[in-house]
Amino acid sequence: MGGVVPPPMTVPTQISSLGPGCADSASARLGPWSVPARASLARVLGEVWRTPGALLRNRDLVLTCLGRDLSGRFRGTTLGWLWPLVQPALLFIVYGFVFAQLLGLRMPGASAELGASYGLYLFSGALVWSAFAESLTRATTSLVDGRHLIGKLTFPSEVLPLTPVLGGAVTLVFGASVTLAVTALTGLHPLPGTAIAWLPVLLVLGALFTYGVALLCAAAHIHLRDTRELLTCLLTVLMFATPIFWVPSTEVLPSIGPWLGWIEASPLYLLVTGWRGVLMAGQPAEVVGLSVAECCARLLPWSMACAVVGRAAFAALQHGFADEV
Amino acid sequence: MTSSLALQAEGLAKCYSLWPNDRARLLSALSLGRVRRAQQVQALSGISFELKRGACLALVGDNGAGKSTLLKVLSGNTPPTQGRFRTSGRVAALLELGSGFHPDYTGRENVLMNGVLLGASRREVKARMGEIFEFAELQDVADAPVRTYSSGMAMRLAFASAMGLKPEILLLDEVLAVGDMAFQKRCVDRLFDYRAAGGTLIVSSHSLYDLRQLCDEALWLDHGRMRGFGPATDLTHDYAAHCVGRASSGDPAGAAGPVLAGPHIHQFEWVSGPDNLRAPRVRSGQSLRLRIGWTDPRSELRPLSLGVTLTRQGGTLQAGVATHHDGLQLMGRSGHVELELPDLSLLAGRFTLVAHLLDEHGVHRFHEHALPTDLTVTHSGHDLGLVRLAHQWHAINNGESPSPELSPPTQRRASA
Repeated sequence: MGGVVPPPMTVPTQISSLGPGCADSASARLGPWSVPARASLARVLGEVWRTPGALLRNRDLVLTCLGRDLSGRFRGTTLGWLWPLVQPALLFIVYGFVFAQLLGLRMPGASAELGASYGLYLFSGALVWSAFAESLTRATTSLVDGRHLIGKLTFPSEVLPLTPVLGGAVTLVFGASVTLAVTALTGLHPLPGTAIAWLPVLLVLGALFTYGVALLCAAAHIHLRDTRELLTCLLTVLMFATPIFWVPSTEVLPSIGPWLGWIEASPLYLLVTGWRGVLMAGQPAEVVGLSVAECCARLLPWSMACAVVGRAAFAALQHGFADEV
Repeated sequence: MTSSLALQAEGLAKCYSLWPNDRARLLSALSLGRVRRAQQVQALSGISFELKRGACLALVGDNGAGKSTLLKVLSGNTPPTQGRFRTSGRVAALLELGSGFHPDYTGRENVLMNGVLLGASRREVKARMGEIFEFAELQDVADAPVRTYSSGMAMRLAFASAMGLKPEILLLDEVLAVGDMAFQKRCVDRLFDYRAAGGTLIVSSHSLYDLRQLCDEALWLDHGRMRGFGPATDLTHDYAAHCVGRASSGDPAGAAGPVLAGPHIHQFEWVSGPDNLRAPRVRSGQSLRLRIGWTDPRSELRPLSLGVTLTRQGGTLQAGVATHHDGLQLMGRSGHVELELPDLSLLAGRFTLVAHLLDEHGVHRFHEHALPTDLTVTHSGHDLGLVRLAHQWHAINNGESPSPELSPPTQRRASA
């Protein structure tokens, strides 16, 4: 840690208490002391514990940042909100051509009437992946991009990485709705039915996981500007290590056997598979693998752990941000 | 009496680490601070003061004295390294105008974002939106992107959006001089209103004139330490004298200041008028005489002009006289002049008297020097307004009969 010992977070109390009038005699009492505190584990854990409350108190700030992010994202572009669909569609076309057309990859157990299933498999995987990867990349640079805010204004800086994560969730909901609508219109694949109720759970778990990793990366990026490049490399590796374009089954890829255990333990596998469980209605079962419920159950500890560790690392470094950016 | 305090600071210190490069910083972070190759810069140390609610504190000091750092610490933007402070809760800092303004978004969207970043709720900002744009006089362009604004317009909107949120404690860092003259006047008026409503203000500025108008207390920072804390008029005066003194003693650090090496006023005092110079008090209609001494250390002598302004408490510039207005100019290494004001026509009030040393055209102001104590003018008559105009009444007879009279009410006086 730097030369400045990180003191406690005085920010939320000051922020949330700005009231409507200045001549309010009831509020004339002096608030608590703002002191420089030691870098203690107890303080950091206290910060983590208080995070949900602090974000709830600052919900107007979170909502305004999100609204601004969403409205500004595709402002001035001709395709506008079609853009979040373009990248997964492009991935789907390219990889579909390479894997299905050139390499002749077929899904096991796919009957003739499920002919479009591999397409949906590719598209849903790419949709979830691009939402995750884009949120994480944008969140990593969010503090450095917002340095004019951090250096001059007093507000809880954990809001900055949250904005792209929430923005990614909104884009994902939009992409999933379009996917389901197209599936329903074409009738090429069964619709999820009641499994759609898992969608909010998947969204929350995915957002928590992404936010945790994002907090860690964003805090690291302040000190080490190589973080973003490292992350880009890592995401490319992870994209191929996660079954986005291929099916994790020895029937399709005979040599995948020894790696299957590792792949299925990965939170990204769980996230993607969970979404496929909804978007593909869990069919064909041999391809989708785990059920949505099981994915969520296994994802929960990952999400909680990432969120706590990420927030703790962020809290430990947060007080130096205004001086460091 | 703790409840009447708006702010209390005890031994605040702020130390910055200057890293030779990013790798040294990373190494220190990885070793949990055991390996440190940072240079420590003590930006602030031992700052202790208290501020009552509704007070206005001026921060004065040279560049790099720690004014901005102190405001940053008090705003909660960056924590102190030592010491502690507490506030009565609602702090808004304008450390830089337009922080958070994004050029691609409309004025309205930016005001909303700026407001929630300063800690207000969306509902509150939306409720004050009309008022903010009205004050900034930008109603017509509220929905245009900020990039289409001139820089002055963006500044006006930034000031208006911060003032519109009515915080209890407002911190302003060098942001007094925004917009055109008319808008500056309204900014200062707005700050007076804010104070009148019980708002507490801390202002840092290099314009001692503005600070003297607005503030009642001042904190003088010198290399991060408190050099003085007291009444604004006295302390800004001391600070100005210190700047001048440093310039004439050839201190190289002083050469950077605007006033220092140039022509300056070394004397400004009463010759006649008030009896008690500690609390100068005159009656309306009395005559005054002031002496001003000036020095011009420049190698090439140029003509100078002297002016004296009388500012009524509250900020109204009541009167100003200057040699260049009267077709006169000063020339020479140094000299003294006396200004006589016969029959002072000002009505009752408190006035700050400031002497200004200007260039021959009265455009550039080299130096200003205030009288340490305000002048109190008393008046026993019933005249209305701010000045007593020299006047006479004349009765005109246009052939009315009986001819109208204009005379003292003799009968009533007799009965009384």
